[in-house]
Amino acid sequence: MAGDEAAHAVNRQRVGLLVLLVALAGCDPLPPSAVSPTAVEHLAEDLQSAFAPLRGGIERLATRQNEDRERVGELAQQVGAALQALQQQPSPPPNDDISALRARLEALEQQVNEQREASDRDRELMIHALDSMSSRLQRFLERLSGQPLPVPAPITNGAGTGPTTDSVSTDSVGTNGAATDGATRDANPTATPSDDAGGDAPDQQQAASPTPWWWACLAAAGGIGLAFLVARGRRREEERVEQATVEPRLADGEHEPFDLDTFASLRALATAAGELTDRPIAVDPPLPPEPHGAAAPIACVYEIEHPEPAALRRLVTQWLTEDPRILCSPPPSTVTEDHVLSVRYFLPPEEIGREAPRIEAALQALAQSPLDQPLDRPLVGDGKRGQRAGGDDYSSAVSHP
Amino acid sequence: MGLLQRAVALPRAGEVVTLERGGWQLVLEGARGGGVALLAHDGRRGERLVLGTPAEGTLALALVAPLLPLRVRLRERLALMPGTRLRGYVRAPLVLLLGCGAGDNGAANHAFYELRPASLRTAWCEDNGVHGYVHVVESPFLLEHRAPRGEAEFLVPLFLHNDLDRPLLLDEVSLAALGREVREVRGCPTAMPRRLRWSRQEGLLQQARAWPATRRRTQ
Repeated sequence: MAGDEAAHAVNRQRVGLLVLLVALAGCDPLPPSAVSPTAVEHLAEDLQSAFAPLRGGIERLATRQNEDRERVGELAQQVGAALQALQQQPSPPPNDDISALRARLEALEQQVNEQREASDRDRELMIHALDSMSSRLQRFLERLSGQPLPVPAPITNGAGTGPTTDSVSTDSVGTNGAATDGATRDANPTATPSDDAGGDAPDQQQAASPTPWWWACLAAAGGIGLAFLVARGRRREEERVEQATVEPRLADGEHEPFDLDTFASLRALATAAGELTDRPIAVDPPLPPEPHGAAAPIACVYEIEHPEPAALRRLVTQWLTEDPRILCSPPPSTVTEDHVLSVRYFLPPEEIGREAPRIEAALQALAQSPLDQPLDRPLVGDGKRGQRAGGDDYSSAVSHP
Repeated sequence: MGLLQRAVALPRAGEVVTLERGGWQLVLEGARGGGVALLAHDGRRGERLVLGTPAEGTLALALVAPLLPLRVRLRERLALMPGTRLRGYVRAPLVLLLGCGAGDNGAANHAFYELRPASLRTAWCEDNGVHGYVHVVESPFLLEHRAPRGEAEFLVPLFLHNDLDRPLLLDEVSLAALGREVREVRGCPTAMPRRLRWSRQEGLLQQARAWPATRRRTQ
């Protein structure tokens, strides 16, 4: 819930900033009646109130970061406790599990430290950017009004106070004070006589028309802050998605981003502790296939006479599961009886005449090969045709010499 | 000719040309009389062909998607919560299509044989009164556009939408045959993206999406 409120506050302040930037960048120079000290003070109050949700959003973001950090820390503590419990069991577990748990624990601690450093850096960067923006706004308003405005309270959060730029702001106001006074005198007919004390005519004319430099600076500061907040929001969303998903299993030789062995060890540990039970999960039925070819497959039966049918059966079974020409569903089957190995497999009807003789030739070559060698050689059919039996089955037989 | 298509000149009499494509090693041997003996070998199986080719002909090798619908058995179980959508990728093996003709571009119009990899199995399915042949492959569900190890596989972008009012658990995904075209996207073969939407009123809807934009590097 705190995360949603923080995100809502950030979105609200984004909109406010955007409206403010559009207003500042698109409007004409302020009319004389709008730059009176009273109006400027109201504008300053409005700006401070506009930035108030930003402050609250940052505080909520900091709170959420602290909560995430504490959560990861608790997870690391639980893994450590699990490691201790595993070591204290009467039957010592395999060393691989312990080492995997230790590695996982170290990785978690490292992640906690990295996350803490990253969050601190982000927080300091954001506070520094906001202070800079605040000081620039302060200088701008003081230049408009010609008198110092009350300095807003610095932005603080639960972890501490970020760097401030008050000294820079004071120096800047002092260097530009004369021009600001003149501008205020010309623009505000109700100004006090003491306001006319300093400044010459060229400076007054220069300050009477607001230079675009301030507008550009203000717009750039706001744009940078807005871009920073948008980028930060996207990065947080990506991190949330990455944390919510599990990396898929990869094939051999590829980089494994998720330690499945460690995960398996943790699962085994949790199962042993009774915290996790395997419950049957309802799985949706498979999707219906799209119709492609209406003719059902035809069973082909091929009998091989061999002195060692059991050994040949293992070889043939492996070969049947690796040949893409043979349908995997319905599955092929083999039956041994005396010295005869009966092989039953299925082919589409349109491929019976072309593929069945080649498959039988390959089976014959397999039966004549040494059985103790692995199946690592090419099997090229020689085109020897079989004989069709009655019914839908396509059967033939060969006798091993 | 790019990553997915290639044309090689047929060997003359007495010449032997060896090339590798899509996990297959092809050995072409020119014979007198205009014939060419072709031996395709993937390390476990071999296919032997004798080609009658025109003079000065070329052999076109094209990596295409399988012809039949794909039934992808996922290594991970997908759990889609109600009202959510998920984008990911699955991998499937490519089929090497052989064509022959005269000239560089005429070979693709005379495809005569296809070499299926061993990982591409075919099955006969009968579910809910609908029957047919499908290709059965096994693949992980990738959350990122990750290039396969070699050129023998392609990626299928998936956009899964669960509009049901209950969670949806998936062990496999059936993909309709939307053509055999495979394009090179970000350096790896990619098929036409699919959108799978489960809704309570209309059941499963499968639609094709536009091809992803290819990024061209400017120098």
